[in-house]
Order: sequence, then structure tokens, then C-alpha cells
Amino acid sequence: MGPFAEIKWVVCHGPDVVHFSELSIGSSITTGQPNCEHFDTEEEGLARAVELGYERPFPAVT
Amino acid sequence: MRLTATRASVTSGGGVAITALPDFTYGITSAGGVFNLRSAGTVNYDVEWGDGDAETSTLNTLPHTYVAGSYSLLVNSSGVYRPYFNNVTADANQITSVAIGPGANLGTDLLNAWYGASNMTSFVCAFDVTSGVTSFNSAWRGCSNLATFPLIDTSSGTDFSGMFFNCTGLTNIPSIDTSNGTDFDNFCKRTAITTFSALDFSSSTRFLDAWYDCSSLADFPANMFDTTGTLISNAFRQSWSICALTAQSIENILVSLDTNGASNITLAISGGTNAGKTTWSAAAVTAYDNLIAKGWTISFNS
Repeated sequence: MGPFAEIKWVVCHGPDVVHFSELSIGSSITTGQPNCEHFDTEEEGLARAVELGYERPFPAVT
Repeated sequence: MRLTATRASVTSGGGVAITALPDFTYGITSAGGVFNLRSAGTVNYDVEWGDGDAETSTLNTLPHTYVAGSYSLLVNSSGVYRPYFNNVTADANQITSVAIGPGANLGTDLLNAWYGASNMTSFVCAFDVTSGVTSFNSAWRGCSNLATFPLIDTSSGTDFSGMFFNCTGLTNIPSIDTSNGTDFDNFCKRTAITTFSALDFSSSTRFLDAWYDCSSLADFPANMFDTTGTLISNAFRQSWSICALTAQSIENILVSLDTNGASNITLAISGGTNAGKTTWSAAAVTAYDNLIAKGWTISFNS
């Protein structure tokens, strides 16, 4: 998937795992998981990831 | 005043002068006003403020009012004394240097010890005094004017997360002992390193954002992840985003992760000037294909 002209947030998932990634402009992403969805905002992507069982690994830091 | 160690020097007259080495020597530059000496846990220490005042305290936040100027602040303690500036920038920003003598007892936890000391230009530490420290979490985080860092004993360390996070002036990570390290999240995120020297990651489980935005990081060694602890599913989330990895470095990373054998993990080697996939070696592409077949999610520059 990609590259995109804007930053995307990507949720790739399967029966065992949920991956949540930020994809910078011009980058691509490939997954061995059976499903992959992309979102325009981090909030949307994170909400979907959490819905699928994703657990944030630590408080957000910048 | 407790004397924990001494320094011998020859005087101009040929005699020998014995002087005490303080546990901690802080260089302080004050614009005039209050500086709070910050620590954590149970403490009992002597402090010489460097302006003629001295006292003994058990307080974790001990205020002192300076007139504008630079001072050498000395701290000695007979027990554990754990610095804890914890990003209280009004105090941390007054620190220009830290020297830790061989008699210091840091205990086991340096969480956020000098976090936010953005004007610190020198950190000197006797090698052995950190031998019992298990957590280096964010100990020097935000020390953005620190250009070099000494070799210290980190052999007991398990938590290295954020250790050098936002040390934006740091050009080299010393070859510290990380053999017991499990957590390397944000390890040297946003540092100025160009090369990462080999460390022992044999106990590691996570590297989220570890080298994120090290925009000059080009060279990363081979075999770093051949053997690790049990990696979490987001172990390499944004780990090498916004770096400058060469194609050889990307091969080193991918081949080692493939050798590791772990499945279903996310990895980022995208953004910045990381070598694009069209420039990767055949070995790198093979490792990449193997990882995808094992359920990995990998972001990369096209």
C-alpha cells in the first residue's frame, strides 16, 4: 500500500495481531497480515486499531 | 561533612594535598532566584550550595536562592541519593554540568534523573557507581546540549527506554553493557548519531521509536537482533522512521530480524532519507520477503 501524498495511519490485522503504524509521505507499507486499512487521521486509525484489540504500548510521547 | 572519596595532588611546594571528592558536583548557572535541588525516595544528605551556604536535609525538593552567577554545588550522602529533576525545567535548566564521584550511591532507579537538563554540557561519572542501577528510563532525556557521554556500568540495567531521548546534540552512544536490557523504547530517539555501535540486545523485547528521527543515522551494524527476548508485536514500531540508513544498514537490520525467527511484528524503516527499496541488496529483499511471509508489517521508502 502506498506511497501516499499525505501522512496515513495504517491498521493491519489478522487473527493473532493488530499492527498500528504511521506512514510518512512517500513511504509504502507491506504486510503479511490478511487485512490492512488506512486512515487520514491518527485518531481514526487508533480508534479502529483499539476496536480490533490493539493496546497502546505506552503513553504518547513526542 | 561525610568524605566519601579523596583525590591526592602534588602541591607547588612538593607536598601532597588530599581533597574530598563529592558524591555529586553540579555546575549551576543562575539568573538570580530559586534553584530547587531535586531528588527522590528517602534521602539524607549534606549540601554546599557554592555561595558559602551549607545545610543538611532530608527533603526531596530543597530550595535555595542564588544571586545571578555560576556556582559549584556539592552533595554528599551516606545512603542512597537519587537525583530526580523529572523535567521540572525551571530547575533542570540551571544545571550546566554534573560530576558523580566514586562514593555516590545511586540505588537502583535513575528514572527521569536529569530529564530536562537542556543546558547540561558535561556529564562525568565514575564507572562503578551505576553498577546497581536497573532503570535508566529517561535519565538523560532532553539533555540536548550534551555532546558526549561517558562509559558507565549498566550491567544491571533492564530498562533503557528513553535513556538518551531528545539528546539532540549527542553524536555517539558509548558501548554500554545492555546484556540484561529488555526495554529500549525511545532509546536514542532524536539524537545526532551517524553510526550506531553494536550493543547486546540478547534480552530485549521492544524497541518502539528507538532510533526514530535520528536523521543522520546512516550506519547500523549486522546481527544485532539475531537473538533477543520474546519480541512484542509492535517491537519495531517507528524504530527507524526518519533516519538516513544506507542500503547496507537496511540489509543488516532485515537479515538479522529474519534470522531471529519472530513472527507477526511491525517494523518501520521509512521516512527521512532511508535507502529506498529499489536500492536494496538481494539479501535485503529476500529477508524482507521472508518477514512478510511470517506476518510482519513493514513500512519502507519506495
